[in-house]
Amino acid sequence: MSSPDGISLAAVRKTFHGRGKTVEALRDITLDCPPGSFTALIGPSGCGKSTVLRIALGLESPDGGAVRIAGKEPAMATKSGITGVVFQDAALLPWRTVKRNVEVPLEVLGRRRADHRARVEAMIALVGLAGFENALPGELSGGMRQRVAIARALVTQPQVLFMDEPFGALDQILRRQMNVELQRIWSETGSTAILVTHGIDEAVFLADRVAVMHGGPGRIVETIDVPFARPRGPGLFAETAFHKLNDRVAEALHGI
Amino acid sequence: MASEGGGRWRGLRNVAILLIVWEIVGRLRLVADGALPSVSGILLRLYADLGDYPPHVLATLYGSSLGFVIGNFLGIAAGVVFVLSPTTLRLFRGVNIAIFALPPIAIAPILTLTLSGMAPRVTLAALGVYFVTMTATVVGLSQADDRVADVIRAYGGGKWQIMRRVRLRGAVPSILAGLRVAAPNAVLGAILAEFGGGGRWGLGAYLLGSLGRGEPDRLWGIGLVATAIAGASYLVFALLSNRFLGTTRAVSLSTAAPGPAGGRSESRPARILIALGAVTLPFLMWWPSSRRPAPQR
Repeated sequence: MSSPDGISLAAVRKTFHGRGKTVEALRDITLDCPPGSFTALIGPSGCGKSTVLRIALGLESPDGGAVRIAGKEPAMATKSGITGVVFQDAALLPWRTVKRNVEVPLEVLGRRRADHRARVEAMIALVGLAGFENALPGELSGGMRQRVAIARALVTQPQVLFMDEPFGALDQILRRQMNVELQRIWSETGSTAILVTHGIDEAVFLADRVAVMHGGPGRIVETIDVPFARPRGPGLFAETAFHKLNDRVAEALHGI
Repeated sequence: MASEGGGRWRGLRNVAILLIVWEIVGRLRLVADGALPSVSGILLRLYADLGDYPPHVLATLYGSSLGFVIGNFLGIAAGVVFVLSPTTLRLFRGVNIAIFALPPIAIAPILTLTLSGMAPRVTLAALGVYFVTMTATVVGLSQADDRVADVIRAYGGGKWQIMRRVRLRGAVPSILAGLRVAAPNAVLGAILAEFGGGGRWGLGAYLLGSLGRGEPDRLWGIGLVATAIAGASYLVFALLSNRFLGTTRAVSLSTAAPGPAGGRSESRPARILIALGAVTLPFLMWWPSSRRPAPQR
């Protein structure tokens, strides 16, 4: 437990039981994210990377090992409102406006909406949706809905931000655009972030560190540091060093 | 749309033909020596009886509305409980099916024996409403978007928070669709109870009073009014349910198939116990109500 304000997973194990079959989903997952760092968790589909995130969020309980989010148990951390989360799907309530969707975490945490009005407005502006406060999700594009989900994740001023393939459903062009945006937004919040993804360039562009996972059972095979200076702009996508690091992650990913 | 418009005209034409044939058949007293009166005869009689209707219609509306409210309240409340706790759903399966399968015509006389005043009508109307609304509620609540539920859970929200913020509002169209079917059921239940036992006012009582006089045109008129009330109640909730549908559909489809809420984790004895409970509970609930009239005999 070297980072009390960050995220630490120590020897986390998880086995799923179903219909007479047991599947070892995670074996000895150890991950230490210092405060304010950005860690990408990359791996093939079904390798258990989303399960790592669900355990860190307290949505699943591990069969062994220890998880600390800013020094707290996951369930306590989420209840105290120090975490934010973005899932692959924006998962908005279709009958609520953008503003009312962003307010959902505040309501669940039992905070008074009136005290956070400015914060809600600011987060909507931060993700570039000023002027859409009263739009319904059905009136927005896929990229805009995902921005709403990011604003919702940031509205509690989380110390820790979890993202599970937040741009997985977007096309390549929009995805790059959103990566650049997320880089800017995240640097303004100063939170500790974990991004689960299967996009190599996305992981390298955003993270300080890329943890590469293999499946069956899910385990971290290698952790690669990303040395590029911040702030990172779209120009990084064209640099040779960036491509070299992408190749390095790909090698670790495919076990060549 | 030309074809749609054409379809509507064709429908009107068919109705007109039907009415004309009905009129002729009625005038010539072709069915059971006048049991089917002519359309004009029914309408004229209805017009002549118009003064008699208001107290009967009001009484039926009162009984069915009260039953509608009570039955729906119980149906929605039960639906919420069943979704929050699947075990209760399995335990009450027998009761639910019994209520659904109970022929109203068979229990109407029992209800009038055990209960008095408006109670039998209200009870029968409520019974006709409960199952439909309960089922619609359970279906609507279980279809909630699991992904949004995960977001609530990720902020420490429990079952009740998910129920409040996601499931209940998401179930509104389904519940309204249930009410749409339930509304005519309440009217018919109330009329059946009026018909089955006593009371001076109500369309069912009116029907019963007119039955002995051999006036088929009046009976048909009462039937027409009852149908109109039931149909209008259906229409009101059909319009409401359409209004709510647009803002409730998820903007993207859930990729995860909706699984059953919570796996069955009980041991075998517990499962057997629940199954036994589901079978015996209807009888346990029936027992006290069937005993009450005994002293009267």
